[in-house]
Amino acid sequence: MGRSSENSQRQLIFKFLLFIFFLAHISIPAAAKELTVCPTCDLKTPQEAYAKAQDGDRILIKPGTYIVHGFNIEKSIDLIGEGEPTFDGQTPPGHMIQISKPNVKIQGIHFTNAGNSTVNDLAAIYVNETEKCFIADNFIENSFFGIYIAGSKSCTILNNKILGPNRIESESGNAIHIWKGEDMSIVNNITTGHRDGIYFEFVSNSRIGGNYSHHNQRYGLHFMFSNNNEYRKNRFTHNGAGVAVMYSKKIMMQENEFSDSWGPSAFGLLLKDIYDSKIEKNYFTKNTIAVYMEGSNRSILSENNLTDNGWALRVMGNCEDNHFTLNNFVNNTFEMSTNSSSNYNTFHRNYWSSYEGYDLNRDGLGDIPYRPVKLSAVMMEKFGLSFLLIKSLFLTIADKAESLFPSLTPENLYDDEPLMKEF
Amino acid sequence: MKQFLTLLKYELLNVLRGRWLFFYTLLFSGVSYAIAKLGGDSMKAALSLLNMVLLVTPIVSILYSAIYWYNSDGFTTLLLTQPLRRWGIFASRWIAISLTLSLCFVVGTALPFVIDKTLTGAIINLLLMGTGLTFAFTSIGLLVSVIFNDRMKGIGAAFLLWFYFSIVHDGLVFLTMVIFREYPLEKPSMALVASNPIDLTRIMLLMKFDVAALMGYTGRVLQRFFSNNWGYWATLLVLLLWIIIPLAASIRRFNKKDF
Repeated sequence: MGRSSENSQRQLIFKFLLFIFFLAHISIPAAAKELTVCPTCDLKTPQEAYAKAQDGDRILIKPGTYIVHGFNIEKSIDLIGEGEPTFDGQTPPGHMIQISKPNVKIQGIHFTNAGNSTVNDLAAIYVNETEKCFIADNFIENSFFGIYIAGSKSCTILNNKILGPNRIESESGNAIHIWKGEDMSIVNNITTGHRDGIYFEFVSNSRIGGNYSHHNQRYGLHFMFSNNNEYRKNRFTHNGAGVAVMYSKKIMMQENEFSDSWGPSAFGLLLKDIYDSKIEKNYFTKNTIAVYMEGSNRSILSENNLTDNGWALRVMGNCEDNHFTLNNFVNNTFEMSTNSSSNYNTFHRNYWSSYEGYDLNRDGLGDIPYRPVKLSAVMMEKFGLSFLLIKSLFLTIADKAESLFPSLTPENLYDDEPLMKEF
Repeated sequence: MKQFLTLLKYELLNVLRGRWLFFYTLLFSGVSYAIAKLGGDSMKAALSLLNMVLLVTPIVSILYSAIYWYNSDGFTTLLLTQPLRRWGIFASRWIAISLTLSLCFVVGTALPFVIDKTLTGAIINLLLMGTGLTFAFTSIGLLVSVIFNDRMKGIGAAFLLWFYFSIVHDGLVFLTMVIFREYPLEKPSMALVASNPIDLTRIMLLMKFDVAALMGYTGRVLQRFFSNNWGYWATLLVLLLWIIIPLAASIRRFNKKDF
């Protein structure tokens, strides 16, 4: 009795496993169909192939130029380019591709001449109210918006190259624009010649990594009202401002490179109304202002390298409880400026290359506190023309005198234990 | 002309006899050697040298020319008894001093960079401006010494003038800025800059070094002015005026002077 029940149990398990095995083997291949599009095939345009496709199908596009505009994808399909076929939008009023179904994949396609409009936000790839889209390895050229994602979640944008038309700021769109989204991954893209390289508005829990954003009119990366995001290992060079983070909370900014944002009102990193964020291990090089902070609170800046900037830090009086520690400030014309005579932030153990103090007990920490705000910086703040005196003997002497007896610079703004060597 | 050349030759020999011109050269070569060896890019090297040039060349030129003048008082009197043109006597001395000083400065500063093969446009610009400053302050120094007969008064005045151009003038510029901050000062500021050869060279070089972007709107205006060719030549012209006007004034004075 006992034995036979054991046997039947075994049989049951075996049958179950067999069932699973068949399920795995039969159901998946049956669903995926592949449709090939090329100028000489039966299917001559992606639209024709799409009409025949069903959810889960794969449309393979061979090299050639296809006219694509107002192409609505409402099935969960893969649109894969092989050998970089070109989709020419011929600049009509409308998106080139609009995706409104989950699990759509667009890969390896060269988009060119998407529509331009000052009324509608036209894009080469427009994703609307869906999820799990996958957009990879595309080259998008001469578009108004490159990739526009609205009200979606869990999309991946990978290895795309988006080259904008370099119009003036008011007439150009963003390379990657996400409006209302969640759980997005923007990885290894190159964005250039647009208004903003990457734009986030109402986006949360997303990651931006390994992107290279350069020569954009306004910002390399722009956050608005987007909380709990992180961006790491990106490069932002030659943009109006490298990154602008505005009205957002809990943003992690790590290991990025901000450089060559040089010109009047240019910034490496602009923080406006930011709370509880972390800015760590970034490199800021040759920016007019490396880090600009306004209305930003409870953030930590640590282990950053700020080198050869005009101003390394510009912290406005409405910033509170920010903590600056273990940063290297090297060769900046001004290390810091502020518009306030009081200070509510802390500076602890940073390296300042113009520190002239000493370290008698040789513990690596300077024995006298360092005041990064120079009189000349305060003067620049109050009288714009005082730049005429930069590097003059007069200003050097005035700075020296002020550092001995601070009267115009914020009295309680100092690094109590400046490092003697770079961190 | 032959007379003038003979005069120039003896003046040059006389100037070169001075031992501390050697130290002057050595000072510059030492500093620029350190900068060329230590500093990263040539822009930065030029910027570090800038402070040195703006501080040292004016004071050395103005004091050296004044002291030289008073030291060769007897020789001047002797020359005046000869049938020589007065302006020739003066001009030969001016050329001898400013040429030697500039040569010392240029050779001293450039040598380490030439050896290091890092002599770039920025540094050549700096050398040019430093030479301009040397000529201008030699003119000013000689003017002062022609005006004052008394040696102590003359050297004191030369020193005060240097002090004025190096520090006091900038203080006054700052004061103007504070008092007239409500007014647009972009154009008057150009005049303020032009009224001091040290400021002129400093701003000109800073604009070349791309520091201008720090300076907002006015910086942009100034940079546009200084970075186009017209602005560059205008600056050189003003610097030239700073050389010629004191020189002309002192020759005039010397011609009429009763010894």
